[in-house]
Amino acid sequence: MHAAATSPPRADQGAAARGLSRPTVLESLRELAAVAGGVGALDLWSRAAAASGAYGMEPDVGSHICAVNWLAEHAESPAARTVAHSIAARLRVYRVLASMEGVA
Amino acid sequence: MNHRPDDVGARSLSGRLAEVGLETLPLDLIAPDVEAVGDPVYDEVRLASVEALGLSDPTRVQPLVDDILTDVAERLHAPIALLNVVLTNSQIVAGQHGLSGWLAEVRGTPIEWSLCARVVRTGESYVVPDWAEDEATSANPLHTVDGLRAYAGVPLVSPTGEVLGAVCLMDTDARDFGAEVLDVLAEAASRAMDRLVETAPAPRSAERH
Repeated sequence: MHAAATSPPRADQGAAARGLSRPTVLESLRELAAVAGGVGALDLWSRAAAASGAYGMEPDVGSHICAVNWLAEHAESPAARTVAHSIAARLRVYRVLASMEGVA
Repeated sequence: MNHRPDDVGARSLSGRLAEVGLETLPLDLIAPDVEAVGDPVYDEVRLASVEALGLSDPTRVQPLVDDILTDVAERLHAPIALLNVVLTNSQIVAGQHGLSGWLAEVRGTPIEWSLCARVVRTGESYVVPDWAEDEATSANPLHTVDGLRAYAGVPLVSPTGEVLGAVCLMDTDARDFGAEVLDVLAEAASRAMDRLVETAPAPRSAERH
């Protein structure tokens, strides 16, 4: 592939260069709400956050990933578990690309 | 004082939200994005099929499709062949041949960079001979930063008819894809799905019928 995917990471090939912003808890809640409804999303997140220590609206990326990984394991709805996997994947992409810039 | 069960549940949720620092979160903010409503990507049956087949886990999928993707890449003279599973706000590179760098490490992209998401949304094959010349792809970071240049993808279809993702070719050079390419990819997608179904994880006890 092109240099960005095959060479050592460079800051100008990180998250900002790609227009990728840090995923937020609010975005995660909206994703979950698409399959669980608004109250269902809050219920799921409150349990995941309590179990993983992801506190507040802006937990660090690692804590955010822990929370959605908990959901991917424990949510009763298969669709909600897939949404959790999706959020986790997006967070992992952000973390790796942001690390090129020394952000995460 | 007596409370209806709904009141008790609401108060309990409120308390739990406070415990995790979300007591001031306005409930009306927590609604699905407008774009999600009616979007096939968010179809609950489709998402449940992804989960039932264990497709979010590249460590499960890769060994099952490794030879299929290698064969496709070699027959079609392409550097990269992928089995991508489209989730909701991201896609998983569940199987790959020829990837390296950060994509091979992370095994995923945001959905807005995913050409396979279009395959899921339309249920049809999608071909882009030159990303630079196509309005839909010319600003895609996988092109502008990573240098991908050509794409051909066909639907990855579950036995019950949901489009779960795509099997696709990618090239760093612009190229034309003939009908033969789509035939080979479709055959590969069918073979891959057969293996994924045959080896599907046992359902959780509460989800057995």
